[in-house]
Amino acid sequence: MIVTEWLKLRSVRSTWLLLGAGYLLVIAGVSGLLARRTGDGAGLVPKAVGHVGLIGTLSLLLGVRVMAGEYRHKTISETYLAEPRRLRVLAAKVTVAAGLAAAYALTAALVALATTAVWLGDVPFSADLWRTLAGAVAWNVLFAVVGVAVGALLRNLVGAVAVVLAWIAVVEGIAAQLLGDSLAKWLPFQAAMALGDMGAGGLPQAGAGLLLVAYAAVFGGAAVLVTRRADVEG
Amino acid sequence: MTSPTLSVPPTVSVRGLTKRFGAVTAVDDLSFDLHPGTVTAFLGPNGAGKTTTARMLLGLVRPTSGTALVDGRPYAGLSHPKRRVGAVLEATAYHPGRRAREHLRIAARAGGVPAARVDEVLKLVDLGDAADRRVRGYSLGMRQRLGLATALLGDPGLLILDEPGNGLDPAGLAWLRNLLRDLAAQGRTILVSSHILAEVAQTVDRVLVVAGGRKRFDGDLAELASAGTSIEAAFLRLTSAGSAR
Repeated sequence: MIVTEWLKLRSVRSTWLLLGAGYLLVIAGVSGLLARRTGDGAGLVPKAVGHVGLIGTLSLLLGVRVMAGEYRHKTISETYLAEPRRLRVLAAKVTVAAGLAAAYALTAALVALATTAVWLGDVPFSADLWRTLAGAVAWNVLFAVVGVAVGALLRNLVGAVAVVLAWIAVVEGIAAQLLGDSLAKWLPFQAAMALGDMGAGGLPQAGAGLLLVAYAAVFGGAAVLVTRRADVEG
Repeated sequence: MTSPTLSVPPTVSVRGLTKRFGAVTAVDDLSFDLHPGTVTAFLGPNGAGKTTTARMLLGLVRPTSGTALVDGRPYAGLSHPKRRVGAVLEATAYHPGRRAREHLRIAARAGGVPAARVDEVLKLVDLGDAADRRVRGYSLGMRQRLGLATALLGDPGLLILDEPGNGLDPAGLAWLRNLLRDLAAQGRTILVSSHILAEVAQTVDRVLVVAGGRKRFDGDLAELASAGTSIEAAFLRLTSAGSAR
């Protein structure tokens, strides 16, 4: 089941285009900060490498595609004909999306560190840097899981992509203004930023991680309920 | 459930099957059996409930009431469903960026079918030469052939084919009729739906006519054409009575 899902993902070029874009963003993001450094720039390194967390948005889209892409191309019927136990399909998709997101974040971390070495001639490792890297990997994995769940809930690729991008770009910012700083830090993208150690004044990193796990569990639970009962037409 | 007059239990058993989508009743108290080695035409105008019935039989749509069983079990209870049941549901259900061979390899892997079957079914549906092209460039007829290839991967004894003739040219239709005849001669149970009677008339043993979600006729082709009326006229009379309700 997991191998099948991996083959599906691997056999489509857009998977690799989506992920490839992230490496370029990481190189550009790290370079942007370090190129304008004053002094030796060592203090900037955790923030620069934090761009690995930001590509969690691409992991989110990857997760959305793994599930909603099957509805877009109507391949979901064939998938459920081969494995009518739908929750197994959902579990396999979550596993593959989370696994690929983890590998993605780890390789992107290497890219970020290599880029850092190019600018600074050396990578100044610190406790902060390790925390940022660990948070960035967790961010990508949890966003991939949320993406699969959102795809299972909306079952429409274009709609689901629009919803998650609109949430990150517009809706959460407006919601944060309405709620005020003390409540806004509990919103999912704010929590992800805190997990990636990128926001000031947010939740502590471990707390932010737990909160995102809770978000993933809630979305995942809703996805289980919908997937079990939904009629698959066309 | 088995009738005492039949030694072989039905492959498919549908009882009181009903599906409502909100206020619309798509399938209304439908009952029928399918027996091994028979080809049954599932006929009715567009919107008659054929596709919804097929999807309930395959566990994709949940019935409002009634049962649809394969080998006495709901589809989800079959242990290797792809080796037992082959289905063609939609001619366009492919990722356009995948090659036909990749699509079949994935389907084989998902269905627990040896990868060697991929080349066999490609040959069976005459797609061998096009197997390494992306599905994006396929004609509707080629997509239908790929759908049949996917359905036949597991060498299933039961085939549920929802309008497999859509998009086929006359030569393609003749090819499809021959294929169905061959498959039935091997003892398979086949349900083939269509809204065009002529498409399947030469191939089938039995005709099941639905309209407005209800069964209008269940019998052999000769009965349908009884009392001097043509088959086509009988079909139109049965189905228009349904749409006028």
